[in-house]
Amino acid sequence: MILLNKNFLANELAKWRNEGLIDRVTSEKIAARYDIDLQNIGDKKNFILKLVAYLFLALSLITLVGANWEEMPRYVRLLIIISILAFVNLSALFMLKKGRESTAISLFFLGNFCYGIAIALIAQIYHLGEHMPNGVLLWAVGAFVLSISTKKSILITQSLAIALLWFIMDIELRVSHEFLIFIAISFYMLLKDESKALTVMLFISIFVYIICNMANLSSFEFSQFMWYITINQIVLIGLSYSLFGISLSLVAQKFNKIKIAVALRWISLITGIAILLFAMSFISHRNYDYIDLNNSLAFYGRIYGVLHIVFATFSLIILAQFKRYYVAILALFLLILPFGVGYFFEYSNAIYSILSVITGAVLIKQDYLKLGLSTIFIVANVRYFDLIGDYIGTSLLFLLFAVIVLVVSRNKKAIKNES
Amino acid sequence: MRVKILISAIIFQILSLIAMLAYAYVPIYFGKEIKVDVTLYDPRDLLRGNYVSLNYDFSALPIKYRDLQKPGTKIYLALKDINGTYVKDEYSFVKPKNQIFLTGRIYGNRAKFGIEAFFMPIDKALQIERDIRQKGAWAILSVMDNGSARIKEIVLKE
Repeated sequence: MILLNKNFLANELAKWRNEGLIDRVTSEKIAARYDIDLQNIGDKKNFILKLVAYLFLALSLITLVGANWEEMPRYVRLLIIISILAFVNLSALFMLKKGRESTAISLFFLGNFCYGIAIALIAQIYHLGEHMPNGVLLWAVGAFVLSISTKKSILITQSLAIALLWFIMDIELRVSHEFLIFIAISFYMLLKDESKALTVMLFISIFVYIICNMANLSSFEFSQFMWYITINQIVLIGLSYSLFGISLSLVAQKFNKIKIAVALRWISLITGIAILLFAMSFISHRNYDYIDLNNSLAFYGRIYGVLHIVFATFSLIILAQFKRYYVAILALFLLILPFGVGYFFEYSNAIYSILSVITGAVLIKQDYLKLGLSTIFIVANVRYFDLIGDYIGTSLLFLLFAVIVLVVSRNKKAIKNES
Repeated sequence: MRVKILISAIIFQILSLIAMLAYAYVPIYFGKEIKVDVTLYDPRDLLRGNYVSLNYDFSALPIKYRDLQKPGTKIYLALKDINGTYVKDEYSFVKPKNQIFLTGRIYGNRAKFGIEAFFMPIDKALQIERDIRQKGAWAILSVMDNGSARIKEIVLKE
């Protein structure tokens, strides 16, 4: 049974027990049959609540530091914050030794925040205003050192989020490729301690890194036209990256990395659909009226074009290997998509709309019924309100949507009849 | 073994804070005290609280030092003493000799020297902003031989 279903059944069992439908013994027997640890699922909720509580505690401390207590001498302020840091971390150590692991991890989580607050306090006391990201980098390094020594993915997730904050803040000066070190460490730790949160954070971090590199490269090459062109390229890369994420989730599932597979599929789907809907709503031919740089050759010839081909090709190979032929068709579409939006950029809206409806249909085919239907209805909604005069074109587009969805529905029916 | 590693990690965090403290304090202890003209306004930093953003007339770079340089390029500003107040002498990309200078980095059409933020409680920041508009102010800096500087205090002109 996959993890999502296990969580669902565990929650249902708790409800049935509370409603008196089944007794404790029966619920435990059912749980044991499906290898569900009812006790641990309750502990997990408590653990998440503890993390949220400590997050608010950290925010409270940050606000307190922000108040700038000038009446208090510098050394007293420093002593207080460093003592809090030492106390929190040593308490965590104590809890770990006593075997209360979840409390210990929550305290280390708070400790990493206290460490960042201490850095902010020193910067405040000595009016350090030169380059704030350096302070955030120090925070990320310290947090990573502690997190790696605990080997806990939730702390690595927190540290990677801090590193991502540093990377984004440092963009003002440069694209910091050192961020890849944090990504590599996090990936290694993910394999050691599976985690949904870390999978999602890694997916986001790598995507942000790719986008920032692209924006940085484009700004030197395209000057004033950079924005329009870069957005279209980010859409293309974003789509192939998301599909690659979905493909990798199949590989993770095969190697029994269930948590990674579930999280990767979820974040890839959401990202891919969000990008598609953005593209079909905002990538308009009006943006390209006076640009002819955005042709397919310009895209394929550059590093991010190669990256797009790599993502789409690997996705195609993996999806074919796992016999996911419907999704593999999307990978094929993605491979030729730069040609489409390159040569027919006046029709970018229509191209992305059709791709969105095909994606919606494939999602329904893969049993993501709600997600697929929502995608199709959003496309229909946006296109209907955005038709602006072109009634015939929009009517034809709707006709095409209807055909796509009908084809899928007929196939579904055929499969049902066969079964 | 695991406990030893964890203790080392905790000690690493505390030692890195002490190192940062030293980095912040050394220019104040060893640096030479100088006075420069300053104006300011009052923004807020999400992590460090309220501060006044200090503006020096030497922060705006002449055209020949802008644009061609990548953001973050090091730049040196030599200062000269005019009646007890230090003012801009010249910019260069090599360290000036036998002169007090500030080391900064280029950010677009401005240079930052690490002396642009002065943290204080919000009421005081707003008050000092009003006072400076009327009277003007000096920033008292402590400058090291290598050009790194810290702000010691803001003094209103009488």
